[in-house]
Amino acid sequence: MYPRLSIRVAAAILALPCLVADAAGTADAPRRPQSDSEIVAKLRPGALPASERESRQWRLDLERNPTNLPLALASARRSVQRARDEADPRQLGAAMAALAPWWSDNEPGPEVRVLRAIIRQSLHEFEPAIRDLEAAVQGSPRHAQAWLTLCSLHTLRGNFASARGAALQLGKLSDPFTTLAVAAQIGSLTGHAAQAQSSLTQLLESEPAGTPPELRRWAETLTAEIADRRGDFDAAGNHFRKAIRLGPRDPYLLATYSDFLLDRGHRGEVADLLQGWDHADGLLLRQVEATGNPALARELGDRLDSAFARGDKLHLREAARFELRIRHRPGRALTLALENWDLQREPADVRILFEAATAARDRKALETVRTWMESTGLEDIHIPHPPTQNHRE
Amino acid sequence: MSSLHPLRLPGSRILKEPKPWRLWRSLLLLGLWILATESRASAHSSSRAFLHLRRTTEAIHGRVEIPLRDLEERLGLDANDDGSLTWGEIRRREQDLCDYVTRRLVFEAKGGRVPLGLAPVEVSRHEGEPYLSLDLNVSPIPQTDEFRIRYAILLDQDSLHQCLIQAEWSGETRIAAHGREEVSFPAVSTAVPGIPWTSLVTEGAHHIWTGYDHLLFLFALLLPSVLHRTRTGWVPAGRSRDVVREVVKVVTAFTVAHSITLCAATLGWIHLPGRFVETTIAASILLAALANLTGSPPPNSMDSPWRFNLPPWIRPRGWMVAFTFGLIHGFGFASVLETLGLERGGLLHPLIGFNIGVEAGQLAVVALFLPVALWLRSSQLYRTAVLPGASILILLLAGGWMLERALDLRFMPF
Repeated sequence: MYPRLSIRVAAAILALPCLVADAAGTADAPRRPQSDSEIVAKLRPGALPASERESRQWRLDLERNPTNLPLALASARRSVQRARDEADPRQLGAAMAALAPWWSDNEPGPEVRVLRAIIRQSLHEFEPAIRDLEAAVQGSPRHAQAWLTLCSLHTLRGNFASARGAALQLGKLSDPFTTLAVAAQIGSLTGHAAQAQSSLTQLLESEPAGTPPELRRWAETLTAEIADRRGDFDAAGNHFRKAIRLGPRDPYLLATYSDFLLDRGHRGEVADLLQGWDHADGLLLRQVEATGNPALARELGDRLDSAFARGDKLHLREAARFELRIRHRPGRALTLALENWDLQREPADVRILFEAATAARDRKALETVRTWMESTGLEDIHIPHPPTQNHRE
Repeated sequence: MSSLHPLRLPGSRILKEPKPWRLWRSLLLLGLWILATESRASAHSSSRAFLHLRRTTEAIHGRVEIPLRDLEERLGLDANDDGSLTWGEIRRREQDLCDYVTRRLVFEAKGGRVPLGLAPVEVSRHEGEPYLSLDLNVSPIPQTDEFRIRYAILLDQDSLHQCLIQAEWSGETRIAAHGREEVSFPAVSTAVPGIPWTSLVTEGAHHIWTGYDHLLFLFALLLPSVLHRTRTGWVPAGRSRDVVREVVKVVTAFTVAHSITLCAATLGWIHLPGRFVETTIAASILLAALANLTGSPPPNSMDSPWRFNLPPWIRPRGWMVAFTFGLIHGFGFASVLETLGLERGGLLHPLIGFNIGVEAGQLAVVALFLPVALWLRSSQLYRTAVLPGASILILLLAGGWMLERALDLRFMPF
C-alpha cells in the first residue's frame, strides 16, 4: 500500500506549489531594478549627435521664448527631416509643438503655412494641407517648395490634372532635374510609363554636375518603381540597388525595395535589409512577411490594433496588408483598403485594394479598381488588367 | 493629350530657361524636399502616457506611466551620453523627474488644487517600450461633484503626445492631448449602482484565488485537519466525519471573523493602516505554518521532530486560530473592496455580494483539498513529508512577505 500511496503523496506535493504559482500569475508590473548599472532603455547606438544636441537646445530656448519665429521654423524643419529619416511620428509632434503659437492661425506667413502643410501631409490630413499650400502659392507664387509639395500631394491623391498644373509652375522656378523627375512620375501614372522610364534613365545617365545625392536617390527610386510596375524587373533591381548605395537609411526606399524583393521571392535579402528597423511599423510589416516570425507578427498586430483604437489613420494601407497577408482576413482587409482609398491613390493603394477585393470576392471594389485603371491609364503588372477577368465567382 | 502633359515639359520652355543655380541651392538649403510621399514607411507609434486612477473614500490612488525616451529628450537623463539609460542615471534624477510630473499633472476639485503625492520612481514597459512609472496619491479630496485633471506632461515638446486617463470608478477612459489638456471625471462613482451581483461575487471569489496570502493561510490551517496531535506526534484522524466537522469549524470561524471586520472596515467604523494589516496577515500565515511544525503537546515534550516549543496561545484549536486571524484578514478584504470604488451610500449589496464570492472561493479551495487530504491522511508520507514540507514552504513565503511588508522592501517574486 505504501509505495502506491507515496506516488499519490508525491503528486500532492507537486500539485501544491503549482497551485500557488498559478494563483500568483505573471504580471509585468513596474519595478525598481536592483542594480544601478542595469540598462533600462536603449536610446541610440552611441553619444547624442551634435545636431540633436543643438535641436534640444533650440527647444529649450523656444520654451522660454515660444514666439521666436526663425528659431521655431528651424526647429520644426529639423524635426520634419528627422521624422522622414527615422520614420518616427514623434518628430512630427515635435515639429507641431515648435509651430504651436501659429498652428491654429488662419493667416500665418508663407513659411509657417508650407511647413504646416508638410506636417499635415505626413499626418494624412490631406485636405487642410492642400488648402494651406494653395493659400501659400497665392500669396507667394514663387515659392518652389510650396509648388513641389502641392504637386506631390495632388499626385498622391490621384488628381493628376492639378498635379500637372503644379509641376508646370514648379518648372518655372526649380532646377531641370527635379522638374523632369516630377513630370516623369506623373506621366508614369497616367499611361506613359515607358516614356517616363526612358526619360528618367537618360536623365540619370546625363546627371548634371553637383546633383545632390538625395535627389539622385529619389530619382533612382522613382525609376525603379516605374520599371517594376512595367515588369522590367532587371532594370528595377538595378535602379533600386543604385538608390540603396546612395543612401541606405531612407525608410521610403527600404519599404519599396523590400516590396520588390518580396514579390521576387527574395525573402532572405529583405530580412537583412531591414535589420534594426523594427520600430517602423511599415518596415516591420515587410520583415514579418519576409520571415513569418510569429512574435514579430504579434507585436505588429498589437501596434496596428492600438493605432486603430486611437483613430490613427496613418497606418490604413499597412493595416489592410497585414490583415490580408498575415491574419488572412480578407473582409477586414477590404474594409481598411477602401477606407484608405478615400485618402490616397498611389499605385500601392490601388494594389492593396485589388488584392483585398480579389480575396474577398467583392465585385464592386474590383469594379472601382478597373474604372480607376482605365480612367488614369495606370500600368501595373501586379494588377492584372482588367481585373474582372481574373475573377470567377 | 493635354499641352500640360509633363512628358512634354522637357521640350517646353521650362527647360530652355534654366533657372540660376542660386535658386536651386536655396531650395535645397530648405532641407525639406518632400521628394516622395513618405506614407509607405510611416512608422512607430506616437508617444503615449497612461494614467490609471482608483478611488477610495478619502483619496485617489493611481499610477502614471510616461515613455522614458521622451523624458530623456526633455530632461537629458543620459548623464554619461553613451546612448543607454541605466537605472542609476534615472535614480540620480529622481527628484527632477518627480518635480517635472508634479508641475505638469494637476488635480483640482472645487476649483482648488489637491496635493499630489508621488511614490519612488519605478520602470515598466508597454508594447516593448520602456516607461517611467510613478504611483501617486491625491488627497484629501473635498466633497465635490467632479475632479478636473490638467495634464501638461510632454505636450509642449510633442503636440501628438497623448495620455490615456482611466478612472476605475467611472469605468471611462479619457484622452488628454494638445488642445484638450483638461479632463474631468465625476467624483462620485457612477458605477456603484451598476456593479452587478455577478461581478461582485466573481471579484470576491477571484480575490481568494489570486490573493494567495488568504489561500496559504487556509492551507496552513487545513493541512493538519486530517491529523490528530498526540504525545508522540501526529497520527491520522479516525473518522472522516470528525475531520469534516473540524474543517467546517475552521472555515466557519474564519468566515465569521473576516466578515465582521470586512463590514466594520467598509462601513468606516474601524480603520487600520494598510501596511500594518498586510504585515499582520503575513505574520498570521507564518504562525499558522509554524504551529504545524510543532508536532506535539505538551510544550515540554522533546518528541517534536522540530524542537520548537511555542507558547501555548498559538497552539489552541484550529478554529480559534482561524477566528483570531480571520479578523485581520477581513481588513485585507476590505481594502480590495475599497478599490472597486464604492461610496458609503449603497454599501450593503456590494458587501454581501463580495462576501458571498469570498466564501464561494473558499469552499472551492476546501472542496479541492479535503478529498485529497482524507485520501492521503493515513500515509506515513503525509505526516512526514506533505505536512512539514508544505508548512516549511508556506513559512518561508510568509516570512518573506512579512519582512517585505514590514520594511517596505520589494524582493519577493510575487
